[in-house]
Amino acid sequence: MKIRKIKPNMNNTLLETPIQPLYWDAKRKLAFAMISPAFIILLFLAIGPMFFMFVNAFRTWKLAVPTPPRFCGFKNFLNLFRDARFGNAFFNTLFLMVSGIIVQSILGLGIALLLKKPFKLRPVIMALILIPVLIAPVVTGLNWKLIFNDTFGPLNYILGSLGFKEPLWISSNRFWGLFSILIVDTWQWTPFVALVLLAGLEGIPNQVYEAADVDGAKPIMVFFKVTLPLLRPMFVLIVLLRTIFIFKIFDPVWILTQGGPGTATETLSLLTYDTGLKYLDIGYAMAMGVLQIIFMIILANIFLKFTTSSKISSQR
Amino acid sequence: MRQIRLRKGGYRKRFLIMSPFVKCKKNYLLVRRKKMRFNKFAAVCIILVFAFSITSLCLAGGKGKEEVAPMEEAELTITPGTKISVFVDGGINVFPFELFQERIKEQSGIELILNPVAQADVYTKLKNEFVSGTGAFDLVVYFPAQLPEFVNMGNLRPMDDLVGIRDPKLDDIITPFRKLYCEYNGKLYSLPYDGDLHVYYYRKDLIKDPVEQKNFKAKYGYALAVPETWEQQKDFAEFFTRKKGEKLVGKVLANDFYGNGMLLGRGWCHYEWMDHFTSYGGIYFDENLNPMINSQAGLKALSDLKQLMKYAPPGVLSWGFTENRGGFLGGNLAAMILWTGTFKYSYNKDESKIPGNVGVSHIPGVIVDGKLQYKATMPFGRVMSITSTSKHPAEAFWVAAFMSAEASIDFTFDPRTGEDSFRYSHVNAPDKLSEYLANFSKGEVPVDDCKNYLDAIKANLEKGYPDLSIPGSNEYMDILDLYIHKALSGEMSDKAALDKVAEEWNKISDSLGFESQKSIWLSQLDVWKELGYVD
Repeated sequence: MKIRKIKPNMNNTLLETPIQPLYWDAKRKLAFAMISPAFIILLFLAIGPMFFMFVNAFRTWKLAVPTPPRFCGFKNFLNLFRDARFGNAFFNTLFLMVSGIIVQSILGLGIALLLKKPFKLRPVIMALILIPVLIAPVVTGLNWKLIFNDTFGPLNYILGSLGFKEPLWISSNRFWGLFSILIVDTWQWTPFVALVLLAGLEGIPNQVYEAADVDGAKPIMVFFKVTLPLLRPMFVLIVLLRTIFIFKIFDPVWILTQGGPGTATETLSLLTYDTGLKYLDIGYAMAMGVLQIIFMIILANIFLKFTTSSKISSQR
Repeated sequence: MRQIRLRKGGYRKRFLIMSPFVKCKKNYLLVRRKKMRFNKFAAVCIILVFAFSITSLCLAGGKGKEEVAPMEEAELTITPGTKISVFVDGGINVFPFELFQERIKEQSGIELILNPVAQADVYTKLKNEFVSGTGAFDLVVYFPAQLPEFVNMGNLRPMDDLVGIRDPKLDDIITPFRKLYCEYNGKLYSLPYDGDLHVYYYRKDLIKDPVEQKNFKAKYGYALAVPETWEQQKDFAEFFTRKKGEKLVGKVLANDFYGNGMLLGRGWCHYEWMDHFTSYGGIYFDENLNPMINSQAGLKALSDLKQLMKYAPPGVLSWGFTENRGGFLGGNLAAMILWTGTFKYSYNKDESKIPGNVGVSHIPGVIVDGKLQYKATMPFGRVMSITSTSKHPAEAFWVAAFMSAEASIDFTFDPRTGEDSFRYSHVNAPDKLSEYLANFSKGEVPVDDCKNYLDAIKANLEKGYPDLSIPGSNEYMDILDLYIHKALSGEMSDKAALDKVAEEWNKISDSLGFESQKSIWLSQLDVWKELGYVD
């Protein structure tokens, strides 16, 4: 089937919907009065602090000394662009994000395909694979720190017994450090990815597969030409959610490596924490936060656009 | 065919739009109207958010140094039934308060409300409290490196006028702890709670073994003994590093054995480096606040660490306090430098595989003009201060004085706490320590061993080297730690790493106010000179 390219047109469904103008009649006033408490709370708790952050990103404010905060224009942002440590943290975060999403999507898809067909222990396995997601990230980090321990950790013991070289997982260099963090994140979040994809797989109507069967499609073709394209909205959702989660990754990194060796595994969240809460350089930390928010908004918009267009394409 | 409502006021009039031209125009009007409605809504939101933010800024952001109101003369009496809120790091460090809160209530009627936090959060949470000024705490336990910062911010109340409430036995506090941890600008601001200090731990059984002695002498040409210098420490560590299957003290090793443990994890490595750096005569800054970190002393210290790393466990770049203590007491290390408390556990067979074989000595150093020069860093430590917002300073002082002067000998000797000796009465009581440790370990603890341990503390204190105690010390030391870690992991060369520290330290000093930082540093330097820690 040829997919038509969507053009902006006058028959857009959004415009076809009758629109109610904003009239302040009694009913509407009551409605606003009813939602206003929630709205005010949202303002105070979400938007207010964010605005506070935006304001302070343009100020020099160090809590270690008794000087009041002062406006400094774009100085914090300019310093950020020159800051090699920020660039390094950004690269590390990006690396974890891209590699994490790829690895977890592949593994998650494999698990979802295995769990798709009903079998006797399926409900038990479904419950069991959820456990890593439910464990607090701090506990996960501590567990894996013991597992990765070079001297008495079980992982190196097993590798050594099998005749493999025993790597210094969390203390040798950037590669092993980031790889260790990736393993922990993958262990914790792959089940979540698998469940989302499983829900997607179960949503694909059987008729599609029957039609492919009638057309004589081989299983590999069915997978690539039917299953994967129909799972696309689910993949977009996973990429969006995992991007947000990995972008904020803190606990495993803090517990496993504290960003070390040196700054080899430092992520943006860790650097922002250190700057704001250890060095008490509030203005600079807020500027980091603002840049991260802008980056995330851009990414989220790209993904959402992708989702919307994929929905429209699939509707057509 | 579509219906579109156009008129304000309801559903009174409807147009049937059929011609494409009319349809297009009407659509344009609709979109525009929608936009206008959205704009109104957005404007309301922005105004609300702006108002909220400005209020927040006024309340929290615009505060600079607050003028501290002159202290009212405190009444020198305490009121039974008063509740004192105590801020302290949790686990083994809140335990002394838990041990003594009943006795405090019995003796004074004062009730303690304990607010334990994680050790890593002490500075941050305290700072948050001081910035927001809620007055939640009366008595705070924190690290003395932050004392000048808190005093300068007006967060602490001087204690001089409260001394009459209960005798804090100031003369009994070991001089460096009193001068550096309790006093600032000639006023008493705190009482000690924990006297942290680095000491050198070694395995006595290894040194005593005749076969090992013979082999060592044959290899290095001098007698096997407790290392006095870094060079000897390197030989010692090299000699005792053995592979699984080799013999140590006549026994075949089931695991690899290492010559020394080291504090080289991120956040820890600067402590290990400082022991070397200071013995070579290194100092944080000169008198003009120029960083002296990248001096020859700094480079030699890094070179020492890299040498010693060869004889440490392979993952030592992630080792902190727990790994070193566990490795040493687990019988896998020949020596290490650590805080004084580890000795207290060494006789307990549940925690230690080497009971009775732990020796304690002064930190190794270097020979300068025929004399041994060594320094022992004094990282962390804990002190108790009264907040300037406390409504019960008299009661808070009573509690601080009780804990520091009366209860401290018990809780610093008790292995269940994390606190270490800080009074002359502590380091001169080997009998009492022996009794405590014997009760805890359920076995005999020789008084001589305890005397040797307490003498080592005294010897190290004579050559102590305090933490940097100027505002921003957390940031200065973390940057130092970061680049030392980079150098140790091979990410940067030694010179480049230390030069970078110096560059960053200059930036920090400038951002915090160069002149004020310099004057605080100079005042600290005066006390160090008075104590003979620097020339």
